[in-house]
Amino acid sequence: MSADTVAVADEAVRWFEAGDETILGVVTRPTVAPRGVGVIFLNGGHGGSSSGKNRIYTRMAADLADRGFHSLRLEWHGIGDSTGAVDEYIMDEPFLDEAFGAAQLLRDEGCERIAIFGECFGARTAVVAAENMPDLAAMYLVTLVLRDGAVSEQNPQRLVDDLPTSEFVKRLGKLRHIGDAKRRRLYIDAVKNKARQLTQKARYRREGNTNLAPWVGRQVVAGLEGLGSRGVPVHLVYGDSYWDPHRYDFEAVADDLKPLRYETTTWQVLPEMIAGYRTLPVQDHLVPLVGEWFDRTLPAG
Amino acid sequence: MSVVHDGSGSTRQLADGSTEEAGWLEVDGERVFQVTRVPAGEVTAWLLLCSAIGGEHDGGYRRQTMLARQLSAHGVATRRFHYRGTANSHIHTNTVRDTMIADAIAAGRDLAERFPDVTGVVLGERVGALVAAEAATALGARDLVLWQPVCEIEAYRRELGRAAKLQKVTSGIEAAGDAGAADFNATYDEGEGDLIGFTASRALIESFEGHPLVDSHAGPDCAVHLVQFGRKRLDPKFEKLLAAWQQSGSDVESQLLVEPELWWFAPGPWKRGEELRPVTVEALSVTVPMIQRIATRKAVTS
Repeated sequence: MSADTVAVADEAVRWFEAGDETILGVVTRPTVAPRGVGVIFLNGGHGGSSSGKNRIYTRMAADLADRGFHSLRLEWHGIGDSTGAVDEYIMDEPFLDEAFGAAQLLRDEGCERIAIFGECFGARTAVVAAENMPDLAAMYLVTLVLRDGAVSEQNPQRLVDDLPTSEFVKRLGKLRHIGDAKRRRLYIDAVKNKARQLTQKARYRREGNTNLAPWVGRQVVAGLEGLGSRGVPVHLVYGDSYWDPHRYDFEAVADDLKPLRYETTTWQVLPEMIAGYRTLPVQDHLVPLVGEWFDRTLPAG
Repeated sequence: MSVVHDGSGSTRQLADGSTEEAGWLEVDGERVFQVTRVPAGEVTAWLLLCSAIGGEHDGGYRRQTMLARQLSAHGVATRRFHYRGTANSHIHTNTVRDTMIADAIAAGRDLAERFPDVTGVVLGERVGALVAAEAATALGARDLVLWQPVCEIEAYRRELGRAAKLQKVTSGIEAAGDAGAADFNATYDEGEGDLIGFTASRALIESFEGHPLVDSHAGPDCAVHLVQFGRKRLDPKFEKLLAAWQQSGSDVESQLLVEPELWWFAPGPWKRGEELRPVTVEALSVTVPMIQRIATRKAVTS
């Protein structure tokens, strides 16, 4: 670094390795007595820098630092200053290397326990990464997406859900405009989704989850089950906007999702569209709410 | 690749010998986050990037990283930074024109002192153009590159109003059109306009009033290269700007991109990777050779 670059006591930039990529992260250190807990911010697919949309993670990090937490905000590979490229976020292909690398970086900072704040794709990554984090202490998950597949496949999946198999086959049989490439791709996607759901349904039945909707990702069920059985506090948050389909997905299966029966797993629905932090009031509401939850859940000492 | 941590900063060395340094500079006792890319071999020019603000900053962030990495292969050292009060820079600053210009000058001066024998280029994107032109003057830069510059803040304020009409459509919230604009105007009048979850600070916008881009001419020795996004003919306001600066003695050129940019509504990477986005591919295909030419020309001259 050049001579004019000054050491700042409470924040540090750190490049770290994750698989084949180099990830940029910003560590924030506590401004009061450290609790020995490091919180990782795992972003959704918004792009931008590690500061998050409208610097929401910079604000959360400052709030958590004042409560004695370390934190790390990062840029996924293909985003901001990290290396690599990303085409589309596929929910059942989480970026585990980044999560593990971030956790190790916080351990190197002296954190004895790890906590995660995850949003959308970041929440999915957190739930899957949990299994390999023995020192995981808590998770705050905003808009955990229950379905597998890419973001762009979510709505076609919902169309498939609503059709009984007989009707699905009947409609597919007509194969209208099959010569059109776009339409052909749509048919292929529909068949893939239907096949995935039928397989999943059979599997859930074998495992005794007879009522669980087949579109709920297996990673989600296994991840939440693992967290619940370990007694790791998990808090799920959805927004109440009419336009947030993930909240409807969650409410449709909440009664049948067995891991939600663990006392340490809680959830709440907040006003407005929470996914993507789309308004300033949502951001202003969420920043202290997250800090207070970690404060209560992981008390000092 | 190796990584060296030095205090609050971190430097990674790549296989080709180039380095990427990330850390903070201090300006008036506050932190300015910066990332500097230094080529492996001889440095032929330095480039300071003054970014846009709000959603335009986030939407264009990866493109600037890509520009820096591509220019590194051509011997250009590049620095990007976050204005205080935004992104990873000092959290408590009330960002206004003066703080933005001070940040740009500090970041550029530090870079120029590291590479004193090569030519300096300043690039400004959107509102960043109003900052870049002032910084170019202070730093004695010989070339100013402008990406779809904001020429007058009043026009930019009107653009925000138009974007506000669209915001609720794209964000999926119930109202749209005039209702969206009314919501934006109400919050803006109170001090912080809410544009799809990005802060449009009234104090920041108003701090640029009375400072049109045309008044920030960097002098006859500074050539101007304007890149317009997404129109087949040069916008009359850009024609007027370039004509005025040409009359003041500057060499000027313009490049027209076919691909449009959505600015505040630039899609996130879940649609397509930034590396594949046509507007980014085209912008870099024009800008990289432009800066390469500047670096080569100045190197030959000196």
